[in-house]
Amino acid sequence: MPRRRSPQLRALLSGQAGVVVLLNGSTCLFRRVGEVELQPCRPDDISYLFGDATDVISVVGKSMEQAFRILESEWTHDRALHLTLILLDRDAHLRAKRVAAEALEELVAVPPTRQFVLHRLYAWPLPASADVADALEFCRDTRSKVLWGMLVTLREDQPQIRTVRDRWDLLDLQLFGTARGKHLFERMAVAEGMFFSLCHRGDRVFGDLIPQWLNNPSLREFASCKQVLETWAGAFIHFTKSPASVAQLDLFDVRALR
Amino acid sequence: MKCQQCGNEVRSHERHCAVCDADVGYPNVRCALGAEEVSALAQRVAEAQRSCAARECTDILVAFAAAVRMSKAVLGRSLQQVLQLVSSDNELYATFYAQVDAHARRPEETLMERDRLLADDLLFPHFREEIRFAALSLDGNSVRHYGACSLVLSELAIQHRATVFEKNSVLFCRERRLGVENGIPPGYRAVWDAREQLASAKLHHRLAPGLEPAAFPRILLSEGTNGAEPDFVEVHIHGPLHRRAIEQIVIRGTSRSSDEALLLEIERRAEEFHTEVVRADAS
Repeated sequence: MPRRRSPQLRALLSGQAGVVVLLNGSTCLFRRVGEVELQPCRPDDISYLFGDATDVISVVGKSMEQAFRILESEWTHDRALHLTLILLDRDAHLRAKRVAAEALEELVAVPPTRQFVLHRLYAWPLPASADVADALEFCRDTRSKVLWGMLVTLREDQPQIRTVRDRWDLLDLQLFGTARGKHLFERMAVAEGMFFSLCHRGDRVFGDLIPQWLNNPSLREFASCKQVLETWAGAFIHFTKSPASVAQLDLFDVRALR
Repeated sequence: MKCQQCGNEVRSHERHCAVCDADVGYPNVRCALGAEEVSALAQRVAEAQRSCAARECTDILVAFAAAVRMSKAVLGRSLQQVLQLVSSDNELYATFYAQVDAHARRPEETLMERDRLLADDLLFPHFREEIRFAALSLDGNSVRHYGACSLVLSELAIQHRATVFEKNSVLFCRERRLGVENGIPPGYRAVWDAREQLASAKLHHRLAPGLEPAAFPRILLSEGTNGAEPDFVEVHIHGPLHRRAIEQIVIRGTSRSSDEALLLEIERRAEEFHTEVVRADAS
């Protein structure tokens, strides 16, 4: 496909809906993940194309190819999270879990996708309906090394995840102004991987993490950002965790599956 | 209107009386039941009847109206969106999926959706966030462009809170250059139980002698293939859509290997609330 670029091009896209809408002047086109052709649409189709998607983003000044790549990436993130939840679900269909394990191995080998999934899995302790041991069995059966390592580490990290979550829940609403303010901050903290970082790099709270977060434009929008971070993350100044060893297939340990 | 409980004035967008909190009905339904709306729609239906009589296809109009009386509200969604919806009661999804919209901006917030906001303000003043959109369908299929899956909604779950509108409301407002000065003309919306009247008034010109009932689904909802634009009767549903409001899920066009995992889970979870899942052809 020839490379076309227009400074006016605006793309609306959603991984959940798996669609990108390209708006260029009065022209309106859309393309779905897995399809090769752009199709014409009207601006009034836009809300129907996205349905109830909650992850719609707007991108300006990218080429069509770049917009498609962003769509593919967003879609892959969403798909990987769905497959992970299927794999972890105690009650999921066995064949669905097997298919999920096979497909996930490739997806989580891509760092941004793995990061997207982990940022969410580290925001809360696993509920009782999650069955990690069973998920690990499927990883072993499908020889999914990367996925196996990710889930073993996730299981080992559950105590830290619970601690970080409890500390967050204890933060006073007054820090955020309102309950909604805390909710919005939390969503940003999940997306930016702050829960994940506090579990893995809690010893570097004041050295690296807080300065890095304070430079994040998305977080700076919150007036009390610094105070929130110091109150929440400060609790982990003495909280250190040894770097997790990277699990490999030859390290599969039956005891780890129990 | 006056509250029947306490007699105080109730504003058009309110669901409950501000004074006594009595339920005064869904605002979209109340609006469609207004005398001016009902009268204008009746005139359009009479016009449709005259037109069909002149073209000797009154029997087709009657058959079409009877078919539309059985129509359903459908939504087009992607496979992932359907799994998300049917998993809303699942503990893992409730825990980990709820936060995906951290960076999200609703399409409504974008420049190009000003028209959507304008149409919504005209149709649903002060309650647009309460409205969910769907399309009327006779065969369970939605506009394919809008997603590989069609969700067919249970009539029981929506009939008391749904209204129907002539077409995509944004397009309707744009075509007629509607705005603050000139609002939605009467006669283009109806309550759910009068949807066949609206469909007859809108589509009677497409009926002809000898037309087979098999053609009705594509007349009521046109996919917009081969360069044509999609056209349908828009359904406005007040309030949230619970997964148990889904009567049937029609899935088309799956091709990736990982789709199977999502399909199996959709089928398993749909079975929990007795919803039928139909795997249609992938073409």
